Amino acid sequence: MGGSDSKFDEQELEDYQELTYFTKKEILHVHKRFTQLAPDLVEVDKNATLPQDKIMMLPELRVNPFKDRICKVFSSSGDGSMSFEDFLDMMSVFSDNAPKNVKVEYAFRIYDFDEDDMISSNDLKEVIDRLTGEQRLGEEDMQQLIDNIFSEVDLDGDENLSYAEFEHVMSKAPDFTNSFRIRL
Amino acid sequence: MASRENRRSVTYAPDIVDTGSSNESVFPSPETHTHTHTTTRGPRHGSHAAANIIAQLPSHQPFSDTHLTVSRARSLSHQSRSSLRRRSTMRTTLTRGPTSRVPTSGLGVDLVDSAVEVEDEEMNWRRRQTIKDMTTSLTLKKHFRDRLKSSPTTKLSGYEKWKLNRSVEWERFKVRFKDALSNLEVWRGSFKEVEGHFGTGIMSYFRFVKWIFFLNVYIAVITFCVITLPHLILEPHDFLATVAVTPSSSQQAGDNMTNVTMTTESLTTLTMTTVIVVIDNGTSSSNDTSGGTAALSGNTDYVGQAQECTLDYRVHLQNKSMNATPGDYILDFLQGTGFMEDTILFYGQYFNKTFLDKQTVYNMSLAYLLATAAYFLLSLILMVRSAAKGFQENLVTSGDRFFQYTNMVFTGWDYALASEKAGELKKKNLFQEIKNELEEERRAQRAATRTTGQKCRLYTVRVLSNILVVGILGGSFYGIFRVVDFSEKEITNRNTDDFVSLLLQYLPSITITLLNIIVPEIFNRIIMVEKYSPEFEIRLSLIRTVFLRLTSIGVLLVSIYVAIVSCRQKKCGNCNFPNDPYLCWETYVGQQIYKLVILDFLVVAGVTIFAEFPRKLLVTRFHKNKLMKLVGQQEFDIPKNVLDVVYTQTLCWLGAFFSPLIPAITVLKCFILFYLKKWSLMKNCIPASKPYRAARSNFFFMVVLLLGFAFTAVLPIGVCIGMIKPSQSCGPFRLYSAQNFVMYTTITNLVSTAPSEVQQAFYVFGSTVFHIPVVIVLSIAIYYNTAITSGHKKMMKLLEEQLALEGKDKQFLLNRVNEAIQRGELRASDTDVMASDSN
Repeated sequence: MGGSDSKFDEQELEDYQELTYFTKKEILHVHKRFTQLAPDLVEVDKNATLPQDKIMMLPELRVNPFKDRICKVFSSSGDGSMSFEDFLDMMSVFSDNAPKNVKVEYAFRIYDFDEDDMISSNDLKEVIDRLTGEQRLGEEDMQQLIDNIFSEVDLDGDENLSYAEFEHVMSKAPDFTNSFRIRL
Repeated sequence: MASRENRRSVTYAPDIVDTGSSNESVFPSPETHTHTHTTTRGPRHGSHAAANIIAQLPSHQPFSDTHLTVSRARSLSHQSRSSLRRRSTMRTTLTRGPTSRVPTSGLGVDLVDSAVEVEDEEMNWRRRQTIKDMTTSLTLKKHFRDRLKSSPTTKLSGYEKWKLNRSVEWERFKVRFKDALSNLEVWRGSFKEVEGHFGTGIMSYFRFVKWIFFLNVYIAVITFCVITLPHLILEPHDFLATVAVTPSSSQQAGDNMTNVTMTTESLTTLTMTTVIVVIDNGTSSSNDTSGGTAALSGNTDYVGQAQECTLDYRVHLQNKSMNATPGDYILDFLQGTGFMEDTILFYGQYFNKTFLDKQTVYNMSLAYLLATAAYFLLSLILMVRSAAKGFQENLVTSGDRFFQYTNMVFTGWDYALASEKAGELKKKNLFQEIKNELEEERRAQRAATRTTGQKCRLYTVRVLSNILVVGILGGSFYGIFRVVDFSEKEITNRNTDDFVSLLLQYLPSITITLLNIIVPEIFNRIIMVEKYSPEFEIRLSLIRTVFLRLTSIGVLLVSIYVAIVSCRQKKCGNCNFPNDPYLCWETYVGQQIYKLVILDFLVVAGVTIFAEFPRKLLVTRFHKNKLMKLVGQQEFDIPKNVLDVVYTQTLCWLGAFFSPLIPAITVLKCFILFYLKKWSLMKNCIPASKPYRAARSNFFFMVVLLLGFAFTAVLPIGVCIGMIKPSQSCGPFRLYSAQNFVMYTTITNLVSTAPSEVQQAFYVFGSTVFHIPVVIVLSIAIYYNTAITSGHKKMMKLLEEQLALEGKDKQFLLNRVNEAIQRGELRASDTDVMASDSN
């Protein structure tokens, strides 16, 4: 962790500390993990932009069914490639110190596949398919599940989950903060 | 004012609007989202117009003027409130829409320019603190921060400035402190490993062990510094020397006393001289065996009693360890008898220290009591803090079943998983869980409701099984009681030091451990017939097991109490048995607990090494065998392991009073246990097949720990301090000061030497006149808080209903507008809010 000290000066670390939920040590640790993804690219530019497939090599992301959505949401260029600052931001949101409302907001964006600011039944279907992996739920099961979810959460009955409804549910979910967390 | 072309509005690209027909999900590119695009495009059919209008609703505008000024005005009026509220108002203004991460120039202009031009330094600084919570990219955040830094602010002066500087310093300090603290974090790599392979649920167990480890470290530090260290360092090192110059004995002490040599090797000479001295002084060392103290009028020689009892005890110990063989040493180590008895491990060794020359006293008795109070208080505070965190979470969540499916889907995936195998398994588990829940629901819908006959039968079964459970518990408690009794009698009859004697010594502990293993299994079988819901099943079986474990310790204590206190013959404050007088009952209790601690450790380690590892080998080697399939792979049983830890901790609290080194032993135990369990987990176990709801259970385990603390640790120790006479042959309390001396009398003696105001205060706090109003006030506070909570719940329901109605209103109005547009009464461009916006 001490080796990459020379890469960032004091002011930059101060900046990052002010803008994320990390301490200086943690920021350096995150950079180390970032470097491990593509050492040659990062050597040249410490804030290099890595393509999506390199980012998805991170063990925690590789096994995650929503890895492409995560990369897309946190990427500042919108195409899934992430610079170090994007990566740092991502890890900051997934860290222990991020407050629940920030996590809920990003979770909503990750699960909103068509990016229309609503989680429609299509989005939901996609989420469930990805969660169950190779085994797929049958048509009838899937429809029943989607109906159940909407009956629990969709307050205004428009067959869409708006952000307000999503936040309402997640703020009551006891395990959300526990599960929406990556520790580096 | 603000540049219009930089506003980003979220619009629906035309293809998406057909919600019914097509299922293609289009990823709109940023170019289609320009403002001018929507105005020029005419409606193809009514739903376009609807989409149009929806896109212009204020709630969909990320950076609209009105929205910003409104919220800014709100935040300005709440200047004195906490930054939390400001944070949320900041958030709603800045973060609508998925494309807001894409940086554009000029966004910062919207933020700062539109409202009040100049703000003071404090507001500026507070706004900068909330930039962290913005859900935009880091570059944008930097941009905002730079703008905030460079925007003009009114300077503060005087008190305000000083306050601001203090807040800034405090924030910086907190950050530095956290940074430093993270250096001390232990086991970080282990947590990562466990979490990656098994998920957050099991990691919560290891966090619990770490928490207990540090709690024990604090307790061990307290007891060591306050009790053991002074005992080891301060002169003199023998009780009898201290007695020589205590003021109370000065009237009896002749010069002969001071000539006594103070080495413990010369025991015989010591005995001789002291006896001579005692005889010389002519005090009637009240050496009666008829139950306690002489019937002298308040002038009883407690010092003499203490001296003599100590000597008796010492002789007794000397005799016992006369012919010690190496085998005996090992046995003694395991039992805490023999050479171990007279060490700093046990209570018996400690006594009040007096400096021979200066007449100052290190009041070991007071130190003992204060240390006990200190570590109990510390434990209580830490536990309540940890439980309160979990309780807050529980209060917000109004029942798990309510959002059952949503939680399954949206919080189902554990983002911390890092291994392929675990990921695959998790997916399988989720699939299974979803299928099971759906199946369960279908079955419940299809099946007729239970007939009255079936209900009756079920309830009878439940009542019977509960009676059975109570019966089993009662039976096991009685069994423990009898075993303790039996082993007492056998030991006193045998009085030899060999392996059988070791077994007899350990018999109570072994019984308790066996019961702790067997009875929960029986409970598991019983609960299967009771057909409760899965959640309730887990809770109930946990409650029953916890009850068994904690009360078995309680029964042991009760039987010891009966043996110590309620006997007819008493000498030196101890019960006198023909062959093996308990010359020091506190040490005896300490030994029992020491044995329990050692046995507990051996059992847990043994089961891990000798049961789980072979099981894994067998199951993987012969996995085609039917029997092996039945036994199955080992899964890490979290509730059982957590209860083990709770049991260990309860023993530690109980034992710390009678054996000040037990917390240190527990620290060692926790350390070894952590690595052992981790090794067993990684090598022998497979990830759990059922998901583990961590949040709820953690709170429950903290509650269990609190219960164990209150009833199995504080209560017995309290009884011991307040009601049982300490023995006169050992320990810091051997010098009685009155007829009915109990350990607590030390405190009252101390108070009586304090100035009268302090005494008065003490009496007031101790009296019922003070206690009753306190109880009343606390009850009222509890009732008030409960009322507030239920009020909040009602309010939440109301707001939910309102939200639903508002949504329906919106739909209704949109439909009307659609119809109007279709009928041609309204043109699409009329609905364009932007055109009519006046700047």
